[in-house]
Amino acid sequence: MTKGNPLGMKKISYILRAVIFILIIFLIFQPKKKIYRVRNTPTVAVLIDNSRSMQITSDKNNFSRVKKKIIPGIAKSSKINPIFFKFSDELKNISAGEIGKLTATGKRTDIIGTLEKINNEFLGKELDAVILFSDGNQNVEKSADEVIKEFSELDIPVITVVPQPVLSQKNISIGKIDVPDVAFRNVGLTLPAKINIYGFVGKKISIFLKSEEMVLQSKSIDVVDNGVTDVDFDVKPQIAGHINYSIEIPTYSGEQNIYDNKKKFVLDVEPEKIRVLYLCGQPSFNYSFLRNTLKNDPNVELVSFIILRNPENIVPVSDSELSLIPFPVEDIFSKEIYNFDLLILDNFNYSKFPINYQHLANIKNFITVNGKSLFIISGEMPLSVYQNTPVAELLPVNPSAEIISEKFRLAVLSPEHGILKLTDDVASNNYIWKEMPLLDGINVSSVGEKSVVLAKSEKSNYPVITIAEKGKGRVMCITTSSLWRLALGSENPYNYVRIIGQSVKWLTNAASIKQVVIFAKKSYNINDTATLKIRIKDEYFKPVNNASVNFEMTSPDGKKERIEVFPETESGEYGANVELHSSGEYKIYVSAYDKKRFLGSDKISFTVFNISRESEDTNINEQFMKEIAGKTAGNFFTTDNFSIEKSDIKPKTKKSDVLYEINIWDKTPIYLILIFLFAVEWFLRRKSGLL
Amino acid sequence: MKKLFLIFNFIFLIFNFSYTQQGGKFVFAQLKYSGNWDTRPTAWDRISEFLTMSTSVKIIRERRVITISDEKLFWSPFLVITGDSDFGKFSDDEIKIITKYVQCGGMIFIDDSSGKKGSGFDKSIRAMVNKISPENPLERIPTTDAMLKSFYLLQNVSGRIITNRYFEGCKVGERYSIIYSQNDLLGVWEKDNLGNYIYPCDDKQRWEAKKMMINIILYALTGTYKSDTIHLPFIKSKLK
Repeated sequence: MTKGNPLGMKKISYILRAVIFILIIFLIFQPKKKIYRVRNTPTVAVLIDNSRSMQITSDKNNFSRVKKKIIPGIAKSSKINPIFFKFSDELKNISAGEIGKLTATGKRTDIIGTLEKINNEFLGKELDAVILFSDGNQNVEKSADEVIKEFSELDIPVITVVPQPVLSQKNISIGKIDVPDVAFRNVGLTLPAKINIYGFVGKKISIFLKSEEMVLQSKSIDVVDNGVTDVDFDVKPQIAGHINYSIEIPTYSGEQNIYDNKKKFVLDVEPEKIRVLYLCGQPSFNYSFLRNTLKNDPNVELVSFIILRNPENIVPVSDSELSLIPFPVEDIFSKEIYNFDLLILDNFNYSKFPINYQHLANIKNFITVNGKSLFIISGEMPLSVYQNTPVAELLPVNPSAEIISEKFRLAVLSPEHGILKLTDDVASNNYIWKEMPLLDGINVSSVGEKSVVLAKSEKSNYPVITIAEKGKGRVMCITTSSLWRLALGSENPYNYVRIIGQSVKWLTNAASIKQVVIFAKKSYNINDTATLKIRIKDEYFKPVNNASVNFEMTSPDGKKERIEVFPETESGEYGANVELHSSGEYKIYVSAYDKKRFLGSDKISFTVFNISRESEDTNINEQFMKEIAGKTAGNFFTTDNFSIEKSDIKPKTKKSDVLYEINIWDKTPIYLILIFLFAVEWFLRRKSGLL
Repeated sequence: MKKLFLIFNFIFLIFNFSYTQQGGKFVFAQLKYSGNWDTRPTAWDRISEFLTMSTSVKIIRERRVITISDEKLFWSPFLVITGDSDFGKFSDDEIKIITKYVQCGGMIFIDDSSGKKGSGFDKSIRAMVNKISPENPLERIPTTDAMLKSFYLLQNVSGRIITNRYFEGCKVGERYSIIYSQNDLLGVWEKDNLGNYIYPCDDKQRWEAKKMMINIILYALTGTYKSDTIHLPFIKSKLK
């Protein structure tokens, strides 16, 4: 053989070696063969919205058609393996046989919550797609983004199906109103609203923006087509706080639903910084302490003028060597005053300056007509200088020209008042006031009409801190120049800071600059869940993250309930969810402590209307349903054009679908073949004399 | 005996008059400590005359001499410490009281009468200030600070002796609550019974030092008022 064909023998030997080499390589890497499970019918969760709005939006016959024809068609389809669920604000698995008996009676629609629950329901199981029958009226406040993103990442398409809209229906409703999270006082903003109009082509429709039942603006639309019309309202809030607004459309004859012609909303209006104009008659410790406190208050923008030199003072240098500036009487009292929220007159004797009757009348108008505030201090100069002037009408006291020099302790008459409340605990508050240092010097006065004395001198009983409401504004009067002693002479100088801060807040009625603030909507509908936020800050307005928060809710029936509150973020925000099962007024009171230090309290109330969310908005929210379908790679249908075939639902083949793996090299015959080949190759080489 | 009692009562009343009639008036309080604390005993008499003549500040005419443990300390938001030599350390309790005083809004003006760098008084004062304000130690007060324009527009600090071309201070909040001069600022005011200045000094320098002292008092009463935006254009144009 060797002799006959040595070249052919060599070739055979090479081939054998190559085969052996490949076999060894395969033995080292051991490739496997995977056997996948083959599924022909995809598993599909079919979600049927049985909330009340399904009956209203699609009319009774349409809903009946959905449950009696379309969904039973799905049940009979051999192309998918459907699992049926009904949902409103709860999700329930139902059999195909139960679908015919479904009634649209659910009180809420929670599509997002339902998709979340479905995802959990099928955790670890196969789910190839979701078919969602709904009008898209999500009326439980939840964010959709996370849930939709999860479905998208899991590669589960959501096929959305909305009832066929009845174009022949007659209805006008207010859709979405874009309300900003926060607005600022005296800053204009636009409120865009979507108005859904069907069946009123050719008519003129009036739309009103109201606040507290007062019409602020009106617009009219000439209806040229059925559908959605955008309307913008421009508003400029004049006061800070939670301001109630509503957009309303009169009810027109033949409307299908009259409850959706009015939509209420609340605007959270923050004040700009409180602008304080401080006029002081002479440099004094009272000025230095008060100025320092106001300057350090982040909510205050301070402009101050202090009279450093009177006409009788002689300075042996030229004006250019002095830092004095002219006191702009005309500018301040005729123009600039109206740009401020609070005017402080500290021992300021107007008669030393060219301040005329009209200027003083402007101060009066600033308070009584413009709703601003006055903080007036005496003690060095008696308030009697203002007698027979318009400012005298603003004073909460009847002042005399007498200033008595006596050391006295404050006797607090209203320790619970917002200005004097230094802690939530009544006994502790009284104790703090009892321990306050002595003050010195009072401008003698008696309490004025409709005024409230908050604190008087302990022995002589003269009013020291007095307040009054004057027209639209507020006035506070302090008849001593030694209030600074509450800082320097006190064990806790912060009490002085707090009293001044609270005075400014009371005077300017600035509820939104409290240290403890509850954020909630002003109104809810019955069966809503109110998500309340509480923001807690310390005296320097830094967030407090580990505060002890007491949350008390009073229901419309007067029942009080304590609710647990948890920190939500690292920025001093806390949250609580409250189920609202009764209509009427709910009251919330929150107080917060940092260890044992009282930080503040806040109280709010809101109204729960006996209007179901399901009848409030009865339009099909196509946009939302298209968004769900689009972001999850699903399809959007109306009931008229929906079919399983068009849905294009395919079973998924996933890595987790591997049934078993074959390790073909892990078999005895393979090793025997390998040994055999080695033997043949060895034999051939020996025979051909190569060994 | 009765006469003596009446005289005693009269003196007592005069002594306490200033204390009970304070209100928001400026009071010049001076610290009495275990050392040479009263190096410029008549300075306030001259300052008070000049202050009331040239400004609208209402004052209590009498100098208030107090010790640290005196309750009147907390009726006196402006405290002057002078000296020319080292003094015994303040106790921990005394340091606590002064620290509280500063934190509650009090202001301390320290004036080294020795006119020497590294004097015994300087060493004692620096040790004390380090304990009162460890977090905000003494720093040079810039010439742009409101203190130099609180009444007079000043370009530089002055004094009877220019030991330093700067004052030092510790800030609490936005203002300096401790001001330290080594230039014997109070020395320029001292006169003998015949009305002659006791300590020699160039007239111009004396005048600048007087203006500086008035500015410090106005600074204690008005804080950073002259740094407010409304003053800036006026001051800028005047400085040109």
